[in-house]
Amino acid sequence: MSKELLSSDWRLVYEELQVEQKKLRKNYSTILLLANHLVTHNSRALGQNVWEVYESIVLASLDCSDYEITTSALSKLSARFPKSTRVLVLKGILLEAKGHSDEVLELYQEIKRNEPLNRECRKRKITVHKSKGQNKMAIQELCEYLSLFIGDTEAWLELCDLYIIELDLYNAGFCIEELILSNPLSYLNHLKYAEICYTKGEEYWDSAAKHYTKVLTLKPDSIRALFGVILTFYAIMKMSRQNLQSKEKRMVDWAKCKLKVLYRNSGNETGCRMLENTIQYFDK
Amino acid sequence: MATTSIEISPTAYAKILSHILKYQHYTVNGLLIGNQNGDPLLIQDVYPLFHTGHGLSPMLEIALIQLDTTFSSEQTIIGYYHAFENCKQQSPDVHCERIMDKISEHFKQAILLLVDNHALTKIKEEGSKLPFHIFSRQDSSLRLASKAQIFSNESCISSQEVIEKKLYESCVDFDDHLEDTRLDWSNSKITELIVSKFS
Repeated sequence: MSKELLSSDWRLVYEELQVEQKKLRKNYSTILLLANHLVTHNSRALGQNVWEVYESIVLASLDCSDYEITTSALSKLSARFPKSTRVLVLKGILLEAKGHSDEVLELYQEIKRNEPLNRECRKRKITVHKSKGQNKMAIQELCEYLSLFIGDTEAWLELCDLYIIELDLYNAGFCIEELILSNPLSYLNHLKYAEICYTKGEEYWDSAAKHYTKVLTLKPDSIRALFGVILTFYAIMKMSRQNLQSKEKRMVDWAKCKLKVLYRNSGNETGCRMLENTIQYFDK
Repeated sequence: MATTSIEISPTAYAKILSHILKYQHYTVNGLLIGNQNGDPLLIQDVYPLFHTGHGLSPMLEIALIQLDTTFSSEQTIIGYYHAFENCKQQSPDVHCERIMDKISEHFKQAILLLVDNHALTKIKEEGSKLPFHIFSRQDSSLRLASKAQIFSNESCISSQEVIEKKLYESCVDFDDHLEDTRLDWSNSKITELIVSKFS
């Protein structure tokens, strides 16, 4: 982040802020710096957008644990929108950060009662349960949420992860089946499904192999799936005490070649050496 | 006999810290490499594993095979470190136990370093304790090894190095490596930097 940017036109700063906020891995200290600069120097120019900038200040300052800034931004927001649930949820997040989890659960329960379709609040409530280590409660709330918002793919993934932590791989698999149905061409869902099947145990290795190969038809250079194919087919072979059928052998050999090529092209020498060792291990 | 004294090298410590700091919001784990017959047990190096998909086994098995076949008989996987995404969780879960079962098939005295998330706030202070709870396997279950002690000669300097120079941004774990094979999950860059600092 350069100082020049901050002294340039405010529109550029605003643009940069929006770019930063769309990133998957957000750098909250940058967001805080940009947003703070905007509200102190250009609040009038921003017009109605200033409130969104305040909102990002609240979230970013919480991540940097600078609660003083959070409180001052929140007071601006609640003065402007005294009845807003969105602001109320932000207040809840501050309570969460300070560790008042029982208080905040009450607040969210209250909002949930008044506005049963408020997604933000329901999601926050689930995270509070999760942070208190109440995974079962989180699962219950998440199931309730998904019965209302069945199309929320991220929520299905979260539910899946919670089931995995609770060792309920059957239900974890079910979550991914839902996702595969809604988006059959996404390789990521097949990949996760294959990994769950493999973890479930030997009865499910056939379907693990099936889904790993499906991933490879959708994304031929998926390293995880290539390793997965080799691992699964060898595991099946070891279990059934038979040599690989010619079709399976072709598949495994192809995966090995493909991996070698991909590693060689990447120019990572340590990686190449480790791959060689791994392949030798399987060949033994 | 359970191990009672464990030494961790500055490189290994710096890598663990980098991994935790890079993926602060996730559950992260990794493998400890050391000498089988060392006394005190010395953690020489660390291979960071995952920050997603905790609890699924296929890629973990691949990582274990890769390391197992790479190291000579003397140097081997001597344990495992784990940091939960949840600050409050202070004891290993079923998945940690399973991984430890697997590691102790090869090395009986395997140790688990569970990261104490609260202690992480104080690591930069001189003379502070290392932020780990040590667990070891006793009678086929994981127990807190209350007598075991972990020490490092230069932990303070390596934590300053990691935090102030933002070394953690260059940390690569096996998850990253599987997404992009160009990335080196042995983190030789961090090794070089730390080693040059101490030589």
